[in-house]
Amino acid sequence: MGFESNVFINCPFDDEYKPMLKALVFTSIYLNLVPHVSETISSSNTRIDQIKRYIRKSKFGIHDISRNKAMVVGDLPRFNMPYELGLDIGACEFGGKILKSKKILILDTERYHYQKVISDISGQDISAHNDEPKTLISKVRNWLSSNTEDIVLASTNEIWIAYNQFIDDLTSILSATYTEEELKEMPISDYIKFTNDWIKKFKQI
Amino acid sequence: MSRKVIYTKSRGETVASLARPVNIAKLHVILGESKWSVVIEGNTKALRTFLTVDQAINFAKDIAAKKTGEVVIHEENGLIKDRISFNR
Repeated sequence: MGFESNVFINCPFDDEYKPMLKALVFTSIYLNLVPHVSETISSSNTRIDQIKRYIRKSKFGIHDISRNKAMVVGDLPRFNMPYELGLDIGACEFGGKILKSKKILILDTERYHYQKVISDISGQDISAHNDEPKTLISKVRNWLSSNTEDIVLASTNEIWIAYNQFIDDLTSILSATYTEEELKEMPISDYIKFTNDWIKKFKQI
Repeated sequence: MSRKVIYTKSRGETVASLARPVNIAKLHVILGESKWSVVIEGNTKALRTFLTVDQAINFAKDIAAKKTGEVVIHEENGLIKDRISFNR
């Protein structure tokens, strides 16, 4: 798998966002992409180097900046996501021929929130998901479809139905061994492996 | 809290084996665009769609009750809200 099928996912990792992240990873794999998620990086001092490597080797970048604001009164907004988005846009803007072919999708909860906090990204592909996994799947799928000519992608409905079944299968097997808390804390790298195995089987006819 | 590594190859295969069930009639009740869909496990198209979740659940229960089956009701975000099992 190379540059054309890699997708760098830059998104929040809080509990509230987990159903969104799971749907996003599932959609990427269902549409034959290889997701690279920064949470899978263990050492904090190499984190930014690894992110730069992901950016360099991924044609697609999906950046969710919905946590670019305090979620609870007293909390501070998170700026890692817009920082990494800036790196990805910079790679596309100033990189060589291959990097110039990068495609970047920016996601937010509300449609025009970004205009208040990071208005310079106007002109990029920006979509709102309303914190709904199905809307997120639809936005990502449609954006990929518009950036992959000559390939007919699975419909949003197909991905959504498959995703619901996957969540049920995963939960029913793992809940026999693990507590709800442990499953909530499952490393995203494990989730990616379960998703890969399941989709491979699901698509066998 | 340290994170447990949960994935193993054999566990991945066990989860994947459920993607194509053989004997069990499992029906999912899933919110589609604006209607509730009843989908047989392993399929990507709805068997039928309904305006309300109760109508969808009742339809799925009727089918599952005829076999050894299960109805899985999903929340709007895809997570599991409830399971109803039937044994014959």
